[in-house]
Amino acid sequence: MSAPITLIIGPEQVLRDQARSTTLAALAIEDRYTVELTTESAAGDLRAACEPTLFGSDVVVIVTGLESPDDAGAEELLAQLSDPPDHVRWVCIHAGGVGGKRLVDAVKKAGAEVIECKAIKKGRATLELLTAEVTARKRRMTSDALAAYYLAVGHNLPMLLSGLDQLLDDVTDDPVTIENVQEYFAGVADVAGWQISGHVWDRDAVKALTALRHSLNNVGVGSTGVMTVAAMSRGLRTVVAFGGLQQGLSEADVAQQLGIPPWQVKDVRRQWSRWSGDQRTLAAAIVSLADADAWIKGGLGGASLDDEQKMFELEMLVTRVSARAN
Amino acid sequence: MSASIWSNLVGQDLAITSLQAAVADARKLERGEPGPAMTHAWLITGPPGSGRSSAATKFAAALVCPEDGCGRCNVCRLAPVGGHPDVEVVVPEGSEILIDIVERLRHIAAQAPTQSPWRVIVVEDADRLTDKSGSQLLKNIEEPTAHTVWVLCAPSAADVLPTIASRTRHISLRTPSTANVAELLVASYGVDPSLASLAARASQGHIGRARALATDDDARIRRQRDLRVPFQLRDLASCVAMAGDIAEASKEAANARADELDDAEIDLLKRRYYAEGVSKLEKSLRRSYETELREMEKEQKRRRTRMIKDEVDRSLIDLQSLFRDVLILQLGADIELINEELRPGVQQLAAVGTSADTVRRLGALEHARRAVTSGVTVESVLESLMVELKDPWVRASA
Ligand SMILES: [Zn+2]
Repeated sequence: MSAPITLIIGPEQVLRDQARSTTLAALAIEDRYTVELTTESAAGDLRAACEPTLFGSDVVVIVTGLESPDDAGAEELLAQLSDPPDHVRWVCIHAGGVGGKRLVDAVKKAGAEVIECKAIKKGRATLELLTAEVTARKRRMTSDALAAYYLAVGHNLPMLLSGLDQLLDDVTDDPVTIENVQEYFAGVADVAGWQISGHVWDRDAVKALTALRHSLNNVGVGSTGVMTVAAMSRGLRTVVAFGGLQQGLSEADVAQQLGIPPWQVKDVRRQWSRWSGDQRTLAAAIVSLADADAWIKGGLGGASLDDEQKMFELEMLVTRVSARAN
Repeated sequence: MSASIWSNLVGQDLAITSLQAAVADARKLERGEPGPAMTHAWLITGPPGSGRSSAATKFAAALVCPEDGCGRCNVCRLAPVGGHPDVEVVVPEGSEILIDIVERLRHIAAQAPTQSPWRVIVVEDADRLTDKSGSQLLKNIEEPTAHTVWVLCAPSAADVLPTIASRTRHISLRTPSTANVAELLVASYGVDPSLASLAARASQGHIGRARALATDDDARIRRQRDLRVPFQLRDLASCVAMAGDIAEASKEAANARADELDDAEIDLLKRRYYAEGVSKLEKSLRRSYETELREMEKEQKRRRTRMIKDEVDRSLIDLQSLFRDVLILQLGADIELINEELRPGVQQLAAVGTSADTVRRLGALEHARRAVTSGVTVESVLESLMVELKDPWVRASA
């Protein structure tokens, strides 16, 4: 049987949510009460949730917000834990930080099974999390496949985890290879956007335009537009930020300062080398991109553009930004 | 004044009198007596910052407050931000009000109020109604239900469809004078007179802004930081970093306010479901509570986005005021500076550029303000703006 108390603690929400659902699934008790410990009504809510049930059946009491508890609520929780009702299974959730230390100690002392949810940093730590996820599914994925997947989706933990789940469902090859990932994402706008952006900031107009056409054909102008503009903005931010870094930093330091994975550093370095002598064009690109972000979403006159015109405008944007003036 | 919800709508005595009379007559209508000062469709007009949406939402709150808009109860606090079940506040996200929003309003208008005798629907920026959604809305207004009140807001009556203008009762607001605003700050908030006049000047007639500057240290600090922005744009990287900083600060400020409102709203919802002494809901009631809670959370998310944009807009207004001052010095006009206390900095900016540069910078600011309200990614707008503030002619080569 699971421990009568589970403590889910740490700043990474996606991990807390994950731990919460696996814990609840393992408990398999339908009657659940959630008590938000930060509210004034917490003490009353908690008492009510712990009341004996009519048929003596078990209940799960989920207590959230241990990190900033209401005073009376905290006292009530301590009282309940010192004399725990037999029919209650506890799931206590603490979002990290120094608050509510007394409660954490008490919960641990009551024999809690502790699930740590440490913050997942960009880069290696995220990749490790994804690897663990693959292993947990009893599957394998090559490291370049995983890296390509990470780059394609971007640093968004909930999306990365749910997308990976989907990927492992859909791709049956084992191990999953980079070819699988590319094939899987072929036509998916997000990846296309990332590829287009890469070519644009490499100032390779031909490749950028080809990738754009490809995406327009596959997923249409709506998602291509939004994704491409968003990806180009992200790419631009990184390139410009790289230009602002001091000289001579190690690859690891650059990665850390820009918040990108280390293997991306050489790409960014190459991209910056193609712009450093032409910063006014880069500045103009910032202006064009912000305007594009507006009209692609229908603002600032964009509502009057039909799909045909939007496609044309997108091609113009990509070509104009990536082409070298000389 | 008996109903204090109106107290910080300064310089709008005429409008307040009409709206108070309407509330009083609304009560008569509730008792089945004639109440000619009340009607079911209103159009509140006024220049930006005059407080037209504030007047509209206060009117809505006064109609649903058990004490005609006491300004102190939870209803008065939450109704203006859409936190009352009988008050619907529509703030258009994009540049147009779409037909599906109007359709949703039609459903809401048809429902009987639950907590008060009135169901009030406030449409901010009714000038963003399209021909199509406008005429659909008109149909709703023309088929009034006894309990439904429409309050539309627009810069002027000419900004809405003529048919809508002709079927609504007008209340027009004017921009309060700097002196009006300063007086209010001293009288209602006990602000030191010199600080009050500085805040009134800096806010250019925006009451809410003036109050924040006069009473909230964080707002003052942020303004000081905003006004230093033009001095810190050295290269592209600093432009992009600065844009990120402003976006971040705006999010922080908006989140703090949104958190507070969200909590108060959820508290009010809880109080509706949990009667005195009840600490556990029956299953069916719990389900409907949770449904309402989820709905509310969706709405809260939208409001949070809007608040972030408002915060960004504040920074943009500060910057506008700065470059307006720069232009005044460059043109040699003998007009008081909005940022008089920063005169040396303004002089420095005036000396390094021409008035043509400044005009283009002001244009970039105006463009950015429009872009922010039309749903563009805030970071992108700000990046573009910073680049243009640094080099006002860059757009020509974009
Ligand atoms: Zn009230």
